[in-house]
Order: sequence, then C-alpha cells, then structure tokens
Amino acid sequence: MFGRGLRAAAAAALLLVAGCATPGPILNENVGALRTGIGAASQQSQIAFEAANKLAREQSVNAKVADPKLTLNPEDFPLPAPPEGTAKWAQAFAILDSYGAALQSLVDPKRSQAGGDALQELGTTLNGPTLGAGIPPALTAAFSTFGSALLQARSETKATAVMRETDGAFNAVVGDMAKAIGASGSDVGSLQNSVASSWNNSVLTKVEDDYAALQPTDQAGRRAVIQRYLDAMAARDRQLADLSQLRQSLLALGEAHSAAARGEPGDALFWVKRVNSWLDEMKARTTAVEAEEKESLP
Amino acid sequence: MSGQNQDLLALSRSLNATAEALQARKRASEDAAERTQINAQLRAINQRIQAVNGLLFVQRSEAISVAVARVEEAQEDLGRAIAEAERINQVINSVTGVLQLVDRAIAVATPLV
Repeated sequence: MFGRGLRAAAAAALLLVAGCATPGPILNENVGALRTGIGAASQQSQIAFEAANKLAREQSVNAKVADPKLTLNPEDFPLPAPPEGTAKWAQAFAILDSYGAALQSLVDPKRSQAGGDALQELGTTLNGPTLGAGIPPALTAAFSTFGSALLQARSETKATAVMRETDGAFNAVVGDMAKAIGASGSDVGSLQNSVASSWNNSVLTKVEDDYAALQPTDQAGRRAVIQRYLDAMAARDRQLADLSQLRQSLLALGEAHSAAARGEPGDALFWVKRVNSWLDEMKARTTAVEAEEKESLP
Repeated sequence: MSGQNQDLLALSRSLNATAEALQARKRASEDAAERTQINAQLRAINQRIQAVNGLLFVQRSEAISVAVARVEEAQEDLGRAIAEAERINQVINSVTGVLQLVDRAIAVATPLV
C-alpha cells in the first residue's frame, strides 16, 4: 500500500518537474556568457583608457617642452581618464563579475545534484533495518532525480527573479559607462571628445606646423610630412573606432543581461559574442599600432 | 547622466566651441604665420579640454560607483539564496546522519537484548 502510493506520488512529481525544469540549461549558458562579456568589456576599457592617457601625456610633454616658462606643475599633465576614475571602473566591473559569479553559483546544477544525492542517501537510510520503510530502490533513485530537479527549479526561479529585479540597475551601470565613453568625438565631455581633441587640436596641428616650416622646393620633405599627417588621421580614426566599439560592448552587455533575465535562448550569447569579437579587433588594432610605433623609432 | 557637474560640462562645451571656431578660421586662412599662431592656441585649448574632461570622467565614474551599488545589493540577495540552498542540503544530510547514527546504536544494542 505504502509503496504503491509513494510510487504514484513520485511519478506525478517527476512529470511536474519535467514540465518546469526546461529553462535550466538556457539560464546557465546565458549567465556564463554574461560573465565572459563582462570580462571582455573590462579588458576593452583598460586598453582604451591606457591609449587615451598615453596620447594626452605625449601632447602635454610636447606642450611643456615648447613652453618658454620654466615652471613645472602636476596640472600641466592632465589625463582624460585619471586613475581615480579608472579605479572606480575596475571596481564596478569586479562587482558586475561577482554578481554574475553569484548567479552562476546559484544555478550551478552541481549544487542541486548534491541535494538529490542527499535525498537518495536519505531514502536508502529509511530503507535500513531500523525503519524498514520498504521503498523500492527505483523509487529512491526517483527521489534523487525529483529532489535535484526541484532544487534546481527553485534556484532558477530565484535567479531569474533577481535578474529581472536587477535589470534596470545593471543597465543603468553600463548605460552610464557608455555615456562616459561617448557616442562620437563631438560628444562634449566624453572620453571620445578628449581623444578627438588630442588628435585634431594637438597632434595634427603640430604636423601642420612642421609642413609650414618646409621650403616649397623640399618635395621629399613635404611628402614625408604629408604621410605623417595621413598616418595620424588614420590612427585617430582607429582609436575613435575602438572607443565606439567599447561603447557598443557596454550597451550590448545590458542587452545580454536583459535577454538572460527574459530567459530567451541565444540572445545573451549573441550579444556576448559581439563583445568578444570587438575585443579581438581592438587588441589586433592596438598590436598593429605598437608595431608601427616600434618601426618608426630611429 | 546622474551626478554630472553641469558647470564642468558647460566649460567643456565652451572650450570645444572655441576650438571649432579657431579650426574654421585656420581653414579660411592662407597666411602661414596666422595658421601657426592659431595652432598654438588650439594646443593650449586642448590642454584645458583634457583637464576639464578628466574631471568630468572622474565625476561620471563616481556616478557609476553609486549605480553599481544597487547591483551589489542584488548580489547579497543571491548570496542568501545560495546559503539557503546549501542549508537545505545540510538539513537532509543531518537527518540522514541522525538516522544512520540511530541505526548503528540500535545495531549495537540489539545483541544485548
């Protein structure tokens, strides 16, 4: 009697679990992808900040060397992404990553499997000589599957609820980051604006002055300076493209989080793949610039 | 954007506008000396744009820190859920452990009866 009732209950429960546990792999995959994207965007930001600061520092040194005044002050070397700001970005990315890690840990199937194993052990013990519950071995295995799936469903429900609640805050963070980077070089006050100004108002103006100082008959000299001018414009466009991609990556992270919170298959992965490909492009461009700089050294 | 200093933003806007006006004047000029002089002014303006935008970047980063604190709160919520999930496993294991202990005690006591 006892065995038959229990068997029926377990069978019903298994059917119930089979019906509700489908989002599991999607959520697990999406949350893992989100963490990968956070790591990629963090790397992209570090590359972009270093490049922007290096450019501004070189221009400040040139300006100081050309200045007839003999005073030297820390303010003479302003940075577009000062360390007190970039440290906050690093901290923010670390918090986003540990939030992703907590989500990943909560939906980790190993945890629910451990719960299922514990239930199976309990079933075996109940069958022991003292209590002699007489539960068929197949049913203690069902206990394990049912318990594990139930715990997993419970964790996933909680994780999804937290992601939905946090979606606005997550998007506010990456949205604020994207605004700080800026949509273009003419986006006043943004990092793109700082970088565009360094190139247009400093690097290119210096090359123009070098050109103006040449004799009209010095065609070889003129040709070399024109080439420097064209190279500088190309480098400016590459650096601004990197910043635009960083901005897109940050916005894509927000999209990936929203997609994961909605439990839509593939959407988060799609966005994170784009973030990763942008990081690869950025790294390739940075390596190319460094190689060019090495080549141009006398 | 939250936490943005409007005075600094206005200052950056004004510096950018001045730089644009100077660039336009330079393009219109054929006088090499005037162009060189404008370029020197542009470089001086650039130094100030870097300084003001750097301050804006720091302020915007502060705002990011404030916004991310809300995500950190959610992380605490997740930590509690993880602890709860672990507690469930611990409770089941404890019950099993107690039952196994009772079984062993009974097994030891049985031959004595």
